[in-house]
Amino acid sequence: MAQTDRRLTPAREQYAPPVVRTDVLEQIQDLCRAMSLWPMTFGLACCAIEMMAAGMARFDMARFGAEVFRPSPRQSDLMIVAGTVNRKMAPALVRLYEQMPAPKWVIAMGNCAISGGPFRSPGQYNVVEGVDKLIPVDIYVSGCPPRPEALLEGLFALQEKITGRRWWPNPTEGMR
Amino acid sequence: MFGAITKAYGALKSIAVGLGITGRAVFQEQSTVIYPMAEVKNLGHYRGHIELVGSDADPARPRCVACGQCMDMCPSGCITVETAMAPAELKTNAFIRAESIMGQLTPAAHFDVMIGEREPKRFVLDYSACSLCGQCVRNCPAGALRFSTHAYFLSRDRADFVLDLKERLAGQAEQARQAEQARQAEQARQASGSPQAEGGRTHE
Amino acid sequence: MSLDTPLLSLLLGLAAILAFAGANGIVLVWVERKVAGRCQRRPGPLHVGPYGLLQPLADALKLISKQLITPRRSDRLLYWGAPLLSFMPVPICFLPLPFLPEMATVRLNLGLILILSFIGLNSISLCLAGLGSNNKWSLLGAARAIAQTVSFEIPLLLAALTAVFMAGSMDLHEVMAAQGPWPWQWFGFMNPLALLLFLISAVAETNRAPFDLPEAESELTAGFHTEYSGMGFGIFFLAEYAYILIICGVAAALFLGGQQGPVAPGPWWFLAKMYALVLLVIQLRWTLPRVRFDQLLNLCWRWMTPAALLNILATMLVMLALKGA
Ligand code: SF4
Ligand code: SF4
Ligand code: SF4
Repeated sequence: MAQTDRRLTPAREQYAPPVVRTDVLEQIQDLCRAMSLWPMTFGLACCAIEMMAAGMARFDMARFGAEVFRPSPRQSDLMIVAGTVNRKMAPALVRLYEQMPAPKWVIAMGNCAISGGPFRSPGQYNVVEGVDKLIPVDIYVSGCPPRPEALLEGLFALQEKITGRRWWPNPTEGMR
Repeated sequence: MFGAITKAYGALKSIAVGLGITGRAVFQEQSTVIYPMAEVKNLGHYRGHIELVGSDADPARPRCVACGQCMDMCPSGCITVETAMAPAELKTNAFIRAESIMGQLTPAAHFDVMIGEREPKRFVLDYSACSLCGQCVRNCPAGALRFSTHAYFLSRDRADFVLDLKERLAGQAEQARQAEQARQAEQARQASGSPQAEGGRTHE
Repeated sequence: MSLDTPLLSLLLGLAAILAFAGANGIVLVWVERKVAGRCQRRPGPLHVGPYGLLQPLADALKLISKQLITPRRSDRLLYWGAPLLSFMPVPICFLPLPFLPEMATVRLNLGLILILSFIGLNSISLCLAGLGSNNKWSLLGAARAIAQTVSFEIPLLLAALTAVFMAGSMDLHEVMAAQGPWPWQWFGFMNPLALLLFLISAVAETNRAPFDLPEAESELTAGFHTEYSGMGFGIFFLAEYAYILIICGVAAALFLGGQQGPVAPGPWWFLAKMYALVLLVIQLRWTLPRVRFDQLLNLCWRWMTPAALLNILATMLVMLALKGA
C-alpha cells in the first residue's frame, strides 16, 4: 500500500527566510515605481480630452506624480490608450509599446480601447476591437468617455496592482 | 532706432505682464478637487451605464415588459434581452404603446405590448460597447431603464463589463431593503429611548 | 601624511560638490513641479510624502531601476559618453562660485572664464547625444542645440564682460567686493541692460523654456534625449538643473552683489540671490510659450548681440570719463 511505502513520503516544507531580506528593497522599489508613473503623451480620440482634463487643474494628476507626460516612449512607464485604435494606428501603437523600457504598464481608457466600443459592429473594417488584442492591458477603465476621476481611479488600481495595496481612501459616490 | 526701442519695450512689458499673471495665480485659490478625499458636487448628473428600474409593487422585479425595443434601438448592439412568459398573476389587460423614434424623417412605427404578459429572463448589457447615447432609455415604453451614477467603473478584466442587469437590480433591491430595515430599527430605537436627545436630526 | 592633505581635501570637496549637485537637482525638481502647479492654480505633487516632498526621490529610484536601452546601430561610445560628459563639467564649474567665505573656496583669478568655457562643454555633450543615438529627432535636436548655444554664448560673454570691466577683475570674489552692500551699488542696478542680456542668454544657454528648442516635444519628440531611458535621461536632467544653478550663481555674483547685503553680509546672501534667480527662471518657463527657431536666432543676432556691443562700449566710455574726472 502507498501509505506504508516509505520511499513515497512527500517532501516537507523546508523554507527558512533568507538572512538578508531583499524583498523589502523590492517593495520600496515597487512603491517608487507606483508613485512615479510617467504616462506617454499619446491620445487617439475623444477619450484623450478626458485624459488631458485629468492632468489639468481641476483634477491634477500631478498630485500623484503622474503629470510628467513624456513625449518619448523611452522615458515613459505607462501607456494610456485613450481612444479608438484603428487598423492604421495599430502598428504604430505596438511599436510605441515595444519602445518603452521595462517595467511598463498599460491602461485601456474608454470603451473603444476596451472593445472597439461604439464602433464595434459586424462587418466593420477598420477599428481594432480591443487594444488587448495587440498589447497586454493591466487596467481597463470603462466609459464613453470615462470621467477624469475614473482615470485617476485607474491609476490607483494600477498602483494597487504594482504594490499590492490601495494607497488612497475610497470615494463615497460613484462606485456603484 | 525708436521703432526698435519701442518694440523691445513692448516685448519686455509683455514678459512682465505674463510673469505677473502666473505670479498672481500662485497665490490665488486653487481650483483642484482633491479627488479621493473630496469629490465633485454634481456627480448625480453623471450618466453611467444603464440600469433596470424595479416595478412599483416589487422593487426586485424589473418594470421591463420585454418588448425588445431597447435591443433594436441600441446602435452598438450592447443589450441582449431573453424573454419568458411572466407568472400568470402579474398579467393585466392593459397595453402600452411602444414607439420607435427613429428620426425626424422616418415615420414613427409603433406596436402595442401587454403589460405583465412577458418578462425578461435575462437582461445583459455589454457596457464595453456602449456609447451612452441614451436611445435605449429614451425609447423604452415602460420606463424600465435609467442611467446609473456608476462613474468609476474599472476592472482588470474585460469580461467584467458584461453586466447582468437583472441580477444587479435584485442586489440593489436587497440593499435598499436592508438599509430601510436598518433605518426603521434606528427610528424605533430612538422613539423608545430618548426622543428629545437628537431632536436636531430630523430626516428630510 | 602631509602629502595626503590636499588630496584628501580635494576628494572631500569633490564629494561635497557632487552631493550638493545631486541634492540640488532633487530639490529643484520638486520646486519646479510645485511652481508649475501653483502657476496653473493646482497643487502639484501633493500626496507622495508630506507636500509631495518624496516625489523626486521616488522618480530618481524609479529611473535608476528602469531598463537601459541602447538603440541598435547607435554609436555606443558616444551614446553613453554624452550624459557623462554633460555632467562632468559640473564640479569644475562649482569650484570658482563664491558659495563660501573667501578663505574656503578655491581662488582663481580667471574664475569667470573657467565657468563660462566649461559650460560650453554641455553643448558638445548634447551634440554627441544627438549624433550617437542614430535617431533623426535627436540629430535635429543636437543641431538646434549647437546653433542656439553657440549664438547665445556671444551676448552672454559680452554681458559678463561688462561687469568684468566695471570691476576690473575676472575673479568672482573681487567682482563681488567691487560692489556695495546696497542694491543701488550693484552692477545690475547700475547697468540693468547687461543684467537683462545676461539673464536672457543664460536661459537660452541652459536650454530652458521659452528657448527649449533642442527638446521641443511638439516637433522633435524629446529632442536630443529622445532615445535615452532611465538614468541616462536622469543624468541629463541633473546636469540641466546644475547648470541653471551655476549660471544663476554667476549672475548673482556679477550683477547682484553676491555675498554683499545691507545687513550681515555673507554666503547666505549669495545663496538667497541665486535661488531667487532660479525661481525666476522656473517661473519664466511656466509663463512663456516656446519661441520659433528663426525668432530665437533673430533675437540673438539682430537684437541682443548689437545691444551687448553698444552696452559694453557705453560702459567703457562712462568708465573712462569717470576715471578722467
Ligand atoms: S470610448 Fe467614446 S469617448 Fe472614448 S474614444 Fe471611444 S467614442 Fe470617444
Ligand atoms: S446608451 Fe446607447 S449604446 Fe448604450 S446601451 Fe443604450 S442604446 Fe446602447
Ligand atoms: S425597451 Fe424597456 S420594456 Fe422593452 S425590452 Fe427594453 S427595457 Fe424592457
